[in-house]
Amino acid sequence: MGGRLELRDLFMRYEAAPIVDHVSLEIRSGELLALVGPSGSGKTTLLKLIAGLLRPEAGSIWLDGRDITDVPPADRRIGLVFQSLALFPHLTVADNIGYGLQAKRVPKAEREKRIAELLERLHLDGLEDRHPDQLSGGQQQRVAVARALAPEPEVLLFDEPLASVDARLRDELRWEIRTLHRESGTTGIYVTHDHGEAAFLGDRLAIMAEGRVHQVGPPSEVEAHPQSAYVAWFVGYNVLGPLGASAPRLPKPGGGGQFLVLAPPDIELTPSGGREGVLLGIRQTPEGVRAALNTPQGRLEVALANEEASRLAGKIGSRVRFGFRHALELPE
Amino acid sequence: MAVAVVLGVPALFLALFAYYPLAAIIGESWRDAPSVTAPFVEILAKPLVLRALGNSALQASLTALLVAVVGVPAGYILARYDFPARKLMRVFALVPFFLPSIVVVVAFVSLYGEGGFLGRWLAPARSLSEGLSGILAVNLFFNLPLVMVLTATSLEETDAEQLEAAALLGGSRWLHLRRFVWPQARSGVLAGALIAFVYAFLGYTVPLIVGGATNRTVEVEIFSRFYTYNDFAGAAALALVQLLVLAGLAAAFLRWLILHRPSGLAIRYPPPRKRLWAEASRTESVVVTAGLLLVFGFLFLPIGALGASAFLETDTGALSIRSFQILFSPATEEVLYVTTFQVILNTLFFACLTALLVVTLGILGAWGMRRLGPRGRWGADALLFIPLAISPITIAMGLYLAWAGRSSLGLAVWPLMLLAHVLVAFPLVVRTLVSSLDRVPEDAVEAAQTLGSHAPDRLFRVELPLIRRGLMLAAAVGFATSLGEFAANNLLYPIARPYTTMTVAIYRLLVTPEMSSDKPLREAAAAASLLLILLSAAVFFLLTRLPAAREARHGRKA
Repeated sequence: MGGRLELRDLFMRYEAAPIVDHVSLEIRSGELLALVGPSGSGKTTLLKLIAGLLRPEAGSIWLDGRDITDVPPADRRIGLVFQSLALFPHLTVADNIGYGLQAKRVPKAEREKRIAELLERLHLDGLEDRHPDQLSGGQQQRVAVARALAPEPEVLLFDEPLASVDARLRDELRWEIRTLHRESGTTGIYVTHDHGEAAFLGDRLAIMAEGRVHQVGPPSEVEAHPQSAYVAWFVGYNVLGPLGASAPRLPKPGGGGQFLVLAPPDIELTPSGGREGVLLGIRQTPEGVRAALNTPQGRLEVALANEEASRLAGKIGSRVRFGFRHALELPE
Repeated sequence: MAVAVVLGVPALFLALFAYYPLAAIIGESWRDAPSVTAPFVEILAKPLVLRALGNSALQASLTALLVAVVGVPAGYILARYDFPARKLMRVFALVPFFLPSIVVVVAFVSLYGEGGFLGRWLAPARSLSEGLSGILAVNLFFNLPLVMVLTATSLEETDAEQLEAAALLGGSRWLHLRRFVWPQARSGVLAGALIAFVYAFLGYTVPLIVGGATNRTVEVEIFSRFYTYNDFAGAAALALVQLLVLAGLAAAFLRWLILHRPSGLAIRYPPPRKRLWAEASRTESVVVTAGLLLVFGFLFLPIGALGASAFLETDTGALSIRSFQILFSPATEEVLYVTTFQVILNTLFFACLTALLVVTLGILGAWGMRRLGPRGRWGADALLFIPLAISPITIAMGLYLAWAGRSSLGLAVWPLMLLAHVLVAFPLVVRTLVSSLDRVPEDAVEAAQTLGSHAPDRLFRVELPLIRRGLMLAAAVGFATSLGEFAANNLLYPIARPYTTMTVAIYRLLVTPEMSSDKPLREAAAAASLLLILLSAAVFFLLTRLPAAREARHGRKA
């Protein structure tokens, strides 16, 4: 089983601005934690702190009850799959995978056995003598994962490794990463800005913005019970507010005030509704048909039944009235 | 901690073999002096010394001016016109830059000299191989390619759309040149002119052989005070004066570079080139073609003449390999005191060891410097680059004074020669390696770290393999520098006869009076020069082409 990782009050600045702002987080042995947030929220910096590539200004990192804050990255037993993959262009696939084993002076026979095993597990058989630039994008991803897994790290970090892969392949690779994680039992942290990917891969989600972790919990719980307007907005709720204000604005942490949070199915388009907006358009999403409304408090996504959709098709661009069945009031 | 250890090795090397010798020079000049300023007052009061300073300044200024005046139009042509074999010409334009100075002198003499292919028939052409005009011609030969390519490169870094915008706004051709071409080319031209200035100011080989008694530079004066008169104190004081002048210039140039850093606008489309005869007007084409022929004729005819003269008998004009027979004959051995085979072996011995040593030290220096903060790096930069401002004659003299001569530490002479070669090549090699290492992606190094790889392991398995090309280039630079080094070798020649190298051998063959008319030693000098060119070309080709060929065989991109 993988190691138990604990971050205590990590703090890091870039120039004057904090990029990791007093983050405390516990990652359980063997779980896959998806760290999700918009770009610039400090996710990658947090990963590099954990890997030891950066040093925190304050706070500490504990692995299985041992303080590793001052341990150099090479001795941490924490692997990292880079966003750029960072494969060694001068080495073959087999040598890339074997790099960490060689660094640990694993005997040759054992090393070769391990490489062969990883080649097979990641469907890379027959490619061992190729160089990275002779591989497809998906094959490169697999080599990067195999290379990080080879030295059997206690914790494996993924820094948006699928960011530059096309949609079909991304779906396939997500399944592979999930299966691989379950099989290896390593503790994992997976960084992404895509909420869907995070919810698919993560045993738990940690939602991060502006250097702070806003909420941690299983995907279903975070989706059902967002604790802040920011998290609600990030997982797909409509957020209006601050309450009483008329200007549409996205919630940005630090603004303060109460926000009105509405799930798309909780809004109904009815002539008796108390509010008014302009119907922008209707589209099909994996969750069903959605209408978009422009209101003085911001843009709203509304879930529609199919018959409702056909009724509204002719009304695009005109004013409609709406109300809501249920709403949450949350702080920023 | 690790950085300190790694940087410590090249730092110790420089301390022992660059800074301690410099201190020895200072000590020598003040040894018997009644006051601090006395040695300088004394040396600067000598008419010959003042004359040498004047000569150096004159030759340097004229060379810089000449190089700019010829180099800018030539660079403009390379950047803005298209003609057959343009790319090839651009690569070959850099060849003179890597040729040993003495070889070029022999080449100029074999073309423009009294018995040369042109000089024999055309008396005015002889001015290109003797006196001040001869010095300027050879200096132009060495520095023109650099200014030409620097100018062309900075002109190519203009966005085509900027040029189009300028054209749409109208204005005369003169305005275009003044407001557009010159500001773009300025930094390249000035950098090239300054390098030419320093090169000519430090001139040794060319004024020594071509210049005659009236055109002696500071470097030649230091040499003769040390070598001929054994006036160590005077030579040392003069070396310090030269160093101060150069350090002042270098500081001024660095300041200028910092103030005039080029803007970082992205180039989307390189500016178009006009095809000669097709797109350019007829007059324009005639002028440009004539300019191209002149420039490349100037650069390549002497080398051609050198090749030809090695295979032609001077007296009969018959085709033969007599020059090579003389080169390997006892007649040559009589002049050199060692066999020509020994000379070739010596040359290769120094060149190989220099390449090995300078690359090793360079890797340590460059790798350590990359791990310093900006301030530390600035300091290390300065410390590592000061040897660049020390002339080869000063380096060799300092090594002699500090480690041989009166010193009780007494090193043999061949290590002194080797150290001098390494020190001359060191700044350029470190620069090459630092810029190669800077191009290694940071995340590859980080990936190695997270895979459990510590610093030395990382260096050998990730960083060095990724900069193989840079390493080979650095080795080639070290090798070529040692191969072509003449000033330091010649200064130490009286105690280093068994270690005679090719450059010194060529010089001895040139200056030794002919003993019998049937053994023209000048022919042997031409043959030796040709051998030296072929040697450096072969090694340069091997070291810079092999990695590329290997990668091509793997079917991989660069």
